[in-house]
Amino acid sequence: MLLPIVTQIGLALPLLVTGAIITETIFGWPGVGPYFLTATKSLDYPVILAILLLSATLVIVGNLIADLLYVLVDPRVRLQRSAA
Amino acid sequence: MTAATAGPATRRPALNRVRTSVPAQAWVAIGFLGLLVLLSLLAPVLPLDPDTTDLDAMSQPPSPEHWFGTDQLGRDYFARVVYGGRISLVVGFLAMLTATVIGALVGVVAGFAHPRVDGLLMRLVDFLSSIPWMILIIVVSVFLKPGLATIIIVIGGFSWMATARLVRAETLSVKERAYVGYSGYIGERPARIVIRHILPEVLPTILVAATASVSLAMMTEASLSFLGVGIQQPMASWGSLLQTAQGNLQQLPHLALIPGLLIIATVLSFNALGNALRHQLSREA
Repeated sequence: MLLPIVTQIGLALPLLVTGAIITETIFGWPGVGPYFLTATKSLDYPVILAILLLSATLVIVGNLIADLLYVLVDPRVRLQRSAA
Repeated sequence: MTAATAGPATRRPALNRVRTSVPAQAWVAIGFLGLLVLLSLLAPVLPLDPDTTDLDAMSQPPSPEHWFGTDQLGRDYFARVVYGGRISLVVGFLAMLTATVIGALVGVVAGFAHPRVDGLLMRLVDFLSSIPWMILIIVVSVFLKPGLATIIIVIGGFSWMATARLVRAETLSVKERAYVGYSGYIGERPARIVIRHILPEVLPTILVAATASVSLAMMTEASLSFLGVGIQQPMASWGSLLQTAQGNLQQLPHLALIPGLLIIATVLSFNALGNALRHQLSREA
């Protein structure tokens, strides 16, 4: 039962940073969302690249954490140690 | 269909309706959507002008001559809402069509073809699903020059993954049925098997996924237009109306409430429609 929850936790990590674009825009909070929006509209490439890299890294790290948590949460799941 | 012939209790809801098989909320949804579509189709014929500014009548509340009032530039808001509904519905529908066609194609091919092809296609689906969706859509629509066609392509092109997964699962299960195997044994070509045997079974799933897709597409279009990377000003769409309404939220709440409530109502209606469809189609299965 915990497995889907762990999956969602792993998927939620990138959303922490990039998921609140609209909310931050409405309330005028200076978050990653509005920063990214102004950067894309003005074609500020370094900022766009940096935020894309950040979000891609978070996706991968989130998936990694989810995979590691699977082992903790469900003893039947084993990390693969050999090709066998 | 009475309770006695309903089969396992898990399929029917607790309400044992004898005659009405379509829930009331589905009729409300159909009525509302029908009204919306009718207004959108008739919009060019009606005496509505969404773009003429009237600087003598700026920021008026709803009144008999301006049914929804006017916005900050004096444009009749009812006209803008109707034309905005037109654009929003068109975007939602066409984006859904794109996403559903791509998703159904990928799903059926992945389910029916060699496991290697299946693996490859599912890797593609995983790859596209793992990129944060909003960021991807914003970046692609800015680089493809924001506009109506762009937003349809972008939303449709990045929402097909869920449909593909669903359709692939259905196809995999239908593929195991006896008559599909026998069709292969008597020498029917794979394309014919897919079109004649698999697609009709998979169609209900595709239809339900399509209604969910319209809801998603409309919400995404509203978000993108609100953020300024979708439908551009001064073209009206419910999202861009929300963007102009943002500045005077305290003084002119009707500017934001009307498109906002309409978006909510439309999305709810499509969801209710999808639920009713799924309810109907699962009975016959």
